Amino acid sequence: MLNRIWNFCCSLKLAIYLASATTLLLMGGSLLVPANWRIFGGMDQLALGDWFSQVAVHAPQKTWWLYLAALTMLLFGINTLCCFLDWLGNIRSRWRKSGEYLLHLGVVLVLIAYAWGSAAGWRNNGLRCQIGGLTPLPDWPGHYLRVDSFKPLLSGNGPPRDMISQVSLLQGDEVVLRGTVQINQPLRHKGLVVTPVSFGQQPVGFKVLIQGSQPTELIPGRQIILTDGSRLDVLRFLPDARRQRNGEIFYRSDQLGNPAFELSYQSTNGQSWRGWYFVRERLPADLAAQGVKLRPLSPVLQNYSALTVNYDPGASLAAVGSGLMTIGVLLALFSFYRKRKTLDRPDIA
Amino acid sequence: MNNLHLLQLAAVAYSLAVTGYLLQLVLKKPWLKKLAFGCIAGGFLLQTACLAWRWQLAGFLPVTNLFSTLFFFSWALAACYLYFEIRYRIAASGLFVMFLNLLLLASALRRDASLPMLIPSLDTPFFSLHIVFSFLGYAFFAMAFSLGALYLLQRYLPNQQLPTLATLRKLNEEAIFLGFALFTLCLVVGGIWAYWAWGYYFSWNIKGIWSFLVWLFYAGMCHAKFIRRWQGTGYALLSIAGFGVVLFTYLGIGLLLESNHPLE
Ligand code: HEM
Repeated sequence: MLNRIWNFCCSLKLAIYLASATTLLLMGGSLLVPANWRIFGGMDQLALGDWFSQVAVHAPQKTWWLYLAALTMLLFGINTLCCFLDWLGNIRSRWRKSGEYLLHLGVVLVLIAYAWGSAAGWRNNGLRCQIGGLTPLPDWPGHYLRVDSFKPLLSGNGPPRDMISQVSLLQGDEVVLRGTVQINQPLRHKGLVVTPVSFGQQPVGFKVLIQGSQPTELIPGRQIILTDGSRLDVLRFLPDARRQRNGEIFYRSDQLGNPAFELSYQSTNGQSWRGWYFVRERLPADLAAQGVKLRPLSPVLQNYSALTVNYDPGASLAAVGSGLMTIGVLLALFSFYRKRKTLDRPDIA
Repeated sequence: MNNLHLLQLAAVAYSLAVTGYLLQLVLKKPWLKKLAFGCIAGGFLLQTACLAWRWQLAGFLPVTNLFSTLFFFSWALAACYLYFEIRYRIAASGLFVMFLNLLLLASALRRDASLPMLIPSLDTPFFSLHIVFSFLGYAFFAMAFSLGALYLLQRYLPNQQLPTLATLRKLNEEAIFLGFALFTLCLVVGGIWAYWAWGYYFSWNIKGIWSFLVWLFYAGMCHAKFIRRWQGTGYALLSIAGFGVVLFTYLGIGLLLESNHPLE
C-alpha cells in the first residue's frame, strides 16, 4: 500500500497532468489580468501572501484561478521533490542522471523559496525618504532608513543615468547597515533589498513672515519664540489635508494641495492653544486673538530619494535553487547525447 | 555602406537559399542543396557582422526595441538552422525556420532601425544574456515546430525526400530539450536581473506569467517523450501547440494586451 502511494507521488504522468493543469489555469486566468488592472496591477507591489489577503479575497470571482494554480503548483512541487528523493535513494545506479536531478532539486528549492517569501516577506514600493531624515519601515517596527546623501546622474532630457543614495539602516538609534544603492546595484542584507525608484522634491513646510518681521521656516519639530516671549511649536505638516465635517483632519496626498500645520501655542501668561492652521485659510481665531500674525510666503521643498525596500526571507534559498538549476541544466545538456546514444531513458507505457 | 546594407544582403542570401531548397525539392540536384547551404552560411556571417557593428555603435547589445528583437530572433533562427544542418544535414527539413526567418527580417526591415537610448536598468550583462538565451530558446522551439509539422506530413503524406519518422522524432526531441535548457538559463538570468533592478525575482506582469508558462510547457514536453503513447504524433502536435504559446508570448502580448514588462 505504502509502495503504491509512493509510486503515485513519484509518477511522471502525474507530473505532466499537474503541469498541464497549472498551465491551463494560468493561461486562462492571465487573460483577465490586463482588463482588471485594479486587482492585478499591484501584485508586484505586495508580497504574494499580502496580495492574497488584502486584494484577492475581495474579488474571488476574478482571482479564483490563482488559488487553484497555487494548489496545483504546490502538488507539482511535492511531486518533483518525491522524484528527486526517489532518485537519491537509487543514486548508486542512477548517478549518471545527476544533472536532471540537480535541476529537479533546484526547482523544488525555488518553489519553497517563493512560497516562503510570499508568506513571510513584505514589500514597500517607492518609499519617499527625505535626505537626512529618518523614514520608518512600515512592516518592520523599530527600523528606519536614512538616506545620508543622494546624487542623481542626469543625461540630457532622458531618464537619469543613475540615482546614487548612501543609505543607513537603523534599528532604533543604532546603525545596523550602511551602503550605496544604485540602479542595478541594490543594497542587500539578510533578505532585505533596497533598490532606487525615482527622486524629486516634496513640500515639508512653509516659509512665513511672523509678526511682519524676519521670514521663518515652519517645519515640524521647529520651536519659535515670538517677540512677546510666547512660544509656537510646529507639530505636523500635511502638504494636502482635508477637514472632515466632524473636524477630524485627514492626509490626502504628498503633493502640495491644501497644506495644513498642526501648531501648539503657549503664551507668557500660561494660556495655551493647540489646533490646525490651513495655509490657504485665515489664521485660527484663537491664535489671532493672541496677537499672532503669520503670512505664508512659499513652500519649503526638500529633496527625497524614492526607494523600494523589500524583504524576502527566501531570496538566498532561491539563489541556491537557481544555481542548482543552472548546474543541473548544463550537466543534463552535456550528457544528453550520450544518453540518447545508449538509449538510457525511461520508457513508460 | 551602413550596417543595414549588410542586413539587406543577408536577407537576399536567405531568400536565395530558400529558393534553392525549394528548387532542389523539385529538380533533385545535389549542387542546389550545397548552394543553398552556402547562401545561409554567407547570410548568417553578414547578419553576424551587422549585429557586431550595431553592438559596437551602440555600446551595448541592441535588443531593446521591436526592430532589434526581430533582427536578433532572425539571427538566432539562422544559427539554430545551421546547427541542425551542419550536424544532421537536414536541408529542406528546416525550411519553415528559414521562412520564418525571412518573415521576421521583412518585418524588421520596414521598421525604424535607429539605435534607441538604453534605459539604465537594462544596462547590465544580465539583461543581454536574458535576451540572448530567450531568443536562442525560441529559435529551437521554432525548429521543433518545423520538425513536428514535417513529422505529421511524413506520417500522413509519406515523401521520400523527407527524413524518416524516427529521425524527425529524434531531432524534434533534441530541439525541444535544447530550447528548454536555453530557456531555463534565460529565466534564471532574468530572475537575477529583476531582483537586482526591482527587488523581486518574479514579476506578475502578463509577459512574466507567459514566459513561465512557456518554460512549464516545454518542461512537460521534456517528460512527455518518455511516455510511449505520446511519442510521435502526440509529440509533434505538442511541438506545434508549444510554438503557438511562444509566439503569443513574444508578439501576441505586445500586440493584443497591455503589459508592464520592460520590453513591452
Ligand atoms: C518543473 C519541474 C521539472 C523540470 C524543470 C524537469 C526537467 C527535466 C529535464 C530537463 C529532464 C531531462 C530530459 C532529458 O534528458 O531529455 C528531466 C528528466 C526527468 N524528469 Fe523531470 N522535471 C521536472 C519535474 C519532474 C517531476 C515532477 C518528475 C516526476 C514525477 C520528473 C521526473 C523525471 C524523470 C523520471 C526524468 C528522466 C530521468 C532519466 O533520464 O532517468 N520531473 N526532467
